[in-house]
Amino acid sequence: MRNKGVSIYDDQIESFAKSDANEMDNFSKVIKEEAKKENIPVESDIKTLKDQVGNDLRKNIPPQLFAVVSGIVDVIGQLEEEESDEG
Amino acid sequence: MKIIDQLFRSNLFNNPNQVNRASGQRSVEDGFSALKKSNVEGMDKVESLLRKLDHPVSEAETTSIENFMKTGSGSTQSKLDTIEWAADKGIEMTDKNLSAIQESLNSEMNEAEMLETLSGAKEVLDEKLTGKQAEDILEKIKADPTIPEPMKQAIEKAVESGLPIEKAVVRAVKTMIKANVDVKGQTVFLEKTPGEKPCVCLNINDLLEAVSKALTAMENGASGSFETLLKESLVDVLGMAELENLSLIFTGDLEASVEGAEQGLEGLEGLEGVENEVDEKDLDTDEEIRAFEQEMIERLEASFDEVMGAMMDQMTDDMVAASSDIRFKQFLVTKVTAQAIEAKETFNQVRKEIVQSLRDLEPPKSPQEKLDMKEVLTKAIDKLDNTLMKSDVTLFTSMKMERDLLNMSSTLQEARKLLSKGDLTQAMDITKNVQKKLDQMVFKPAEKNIQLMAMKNGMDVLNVKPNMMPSINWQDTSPRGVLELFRDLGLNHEPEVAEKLLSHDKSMARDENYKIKDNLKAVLMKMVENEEPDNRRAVAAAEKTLNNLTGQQLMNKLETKQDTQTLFFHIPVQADGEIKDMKLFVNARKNGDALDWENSSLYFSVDLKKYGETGIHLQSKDKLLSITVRNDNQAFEGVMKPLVTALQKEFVDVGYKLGPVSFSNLDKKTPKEVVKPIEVDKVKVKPQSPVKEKGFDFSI
Repeated sequence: MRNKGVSIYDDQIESFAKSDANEMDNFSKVIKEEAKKENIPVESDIKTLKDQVGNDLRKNIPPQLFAVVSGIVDVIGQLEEEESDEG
Repeated sequence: MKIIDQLFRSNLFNNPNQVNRASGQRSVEDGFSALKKSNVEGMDKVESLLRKLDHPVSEAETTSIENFMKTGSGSTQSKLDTIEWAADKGIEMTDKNLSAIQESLNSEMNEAEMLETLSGAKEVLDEKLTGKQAEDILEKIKADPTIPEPMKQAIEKAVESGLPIEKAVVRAVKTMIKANVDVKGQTVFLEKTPGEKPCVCLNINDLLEAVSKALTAMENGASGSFETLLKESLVDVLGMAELENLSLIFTGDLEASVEGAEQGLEGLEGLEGVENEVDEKDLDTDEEIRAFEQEMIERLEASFDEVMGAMMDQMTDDMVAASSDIRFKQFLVTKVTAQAIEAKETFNQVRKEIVQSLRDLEPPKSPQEKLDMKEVLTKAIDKLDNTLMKSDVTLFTSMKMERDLLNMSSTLQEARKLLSKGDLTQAMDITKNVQKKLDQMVFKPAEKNIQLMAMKNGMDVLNVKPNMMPSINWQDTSPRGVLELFRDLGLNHEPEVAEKLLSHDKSMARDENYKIKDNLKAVLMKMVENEEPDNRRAVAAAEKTLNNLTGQQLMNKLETKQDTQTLFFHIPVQADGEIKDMKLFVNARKNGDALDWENSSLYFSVDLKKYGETGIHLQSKDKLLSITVRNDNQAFEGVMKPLVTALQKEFVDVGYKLGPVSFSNLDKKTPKEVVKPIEVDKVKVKPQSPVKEKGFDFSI
């Protein structure tokens, strides 16, 4: 897998995400500083960043829900195709 | 080590100074009174809303709410909705957060807007060295005694003739180590020795970054020739593994490789290194890997014209020239083949681990054995879900295989439930069934996905910015495709940055191979950061789109204290060359750290060209999925019904049960009202739950 080194730290990120607002503030400050050093753009307002940084869609949303969304996206695409077919 | 030190040793997380944000210096009641006393229009309504939600606010929040009610755009009701979202999610009500949610809920993410933003981004990012900055750099280069005189002259001359400084530098580098750098359009081919075939193919921005690093190193007194320093910086810029990988691929008999590219690439001795790595893990036999590699190469060869066709629209003449070089094709074929082999290796590894763990299971005879089995099942489910959502496996596989994997995850979840209920026989039966199916599963990349992968790599190396335009229809829309779309938009940017910053390899050094996926949000943030007076219009558009994305991120947060969650997304749906904005509201119970797909409610809202406003509501209760389609057009049911029927089969394939389908007219209910009925049923689903239905535990 591509990001082999990550898994050991997954739990830590998750536990930060679960921690209270004050801890998330501190965690976000560290992330903001480190990202700056690495020249990676990241949300600069800590009060916004703290509600984004622990919220990983790959974990929060199960693949089954993505399957429902992809099905609907597909149907909408097909409907539009029919629209254009008909003129 | 630095970040670990900071995080774990500096007592950051043991801060005793924990203040309840709502308590501050005033009582809850004072907070509500302050809202009510405000003379700003609508504040009385805010007060009764927040009181109803049992959500006290701090003084700073009161000020932000006042500002928002006074100066924010939109109706009073829309602003109250925004405040309700923020309260529901436990989001701090700052000016920025309220404005982001308001933007996201009330504006479209439309094609024109995104294109405008992106074309602005292209200008900003491509020409970040202009005017004064460029002059400064030229002065610096001229004054630097470590830069060879002929190179300085070449750069100066090129700039005088009207070339931008970056291009002048590239040209000078090219002249300086002529035999080793070959620039075609925006693509740079580096050659190991003069006249040899390329060992690295990269875009000009990467080269520039490396050149500037090498120049800085020279300035700082680093020893070695410019060429050596440049090579070192390239390792830095591209990441060590990337460079190793590439030279590995091109090391063997290069002449044969490139010639072979024209007749099926059978001469790819260089891939031997990749095979060996797989070999060590004892996953596939030599022959199997060789056959797979050969098949990949042939398939890529066969579809190359199609890939080029798809890329052509977005390329400048320079890029077209670069891409017509045989080495470009060679590069893509080897790169994508290596990626596919890696994905196959990942899949085989996961399959082996899960099958083995399930094979060892025997019907549990004691409560402890039951717990053990539950743990084995949970681990297998997590592995499957991780493969589906995080690995490269589902970037290659067919939709069928993706659905099969999803089905296995759903089935093992069912087994886990049966186990808890005490139905051991059936739990064992379906578990063993999954084991057998998975054991027989073979990783096979789908045609479209191979092409998409080649296209993405090609765009990347040619540095095509419109590649950032998120849309999903080039490939068949798959569950993973939707996730990738959200990632392309940047909705998952911050958590991935955190993951990168916390990721470490075995030696505890930061994992430099972890690359943040290119995404719209990151580009827009850079653009706003580099704000230039000439580009005010594009920057304003960027800020608007950024605000919208931020709003979605805030609304997609899972609030730990809430029992059910509501989420909101904009989905750009591409159809017939046009991008439509589809809104999605999700309401679901929480199951551990994730949403409970078995008990969830999704509402899609989109305005269709011919049929007008359309709402699609899908509701799952213990996996029984009912679908309601809402539209006022008479003809709509006839067109939609067969599509929905086909869709139901797909949903059953991934683990849902067939429920009723109904059609109705639109009514006045808001999407949030439609999507929330599950909350009303919550009492039925969880009769003994002592958890509070709404709000937070603000016991002070």
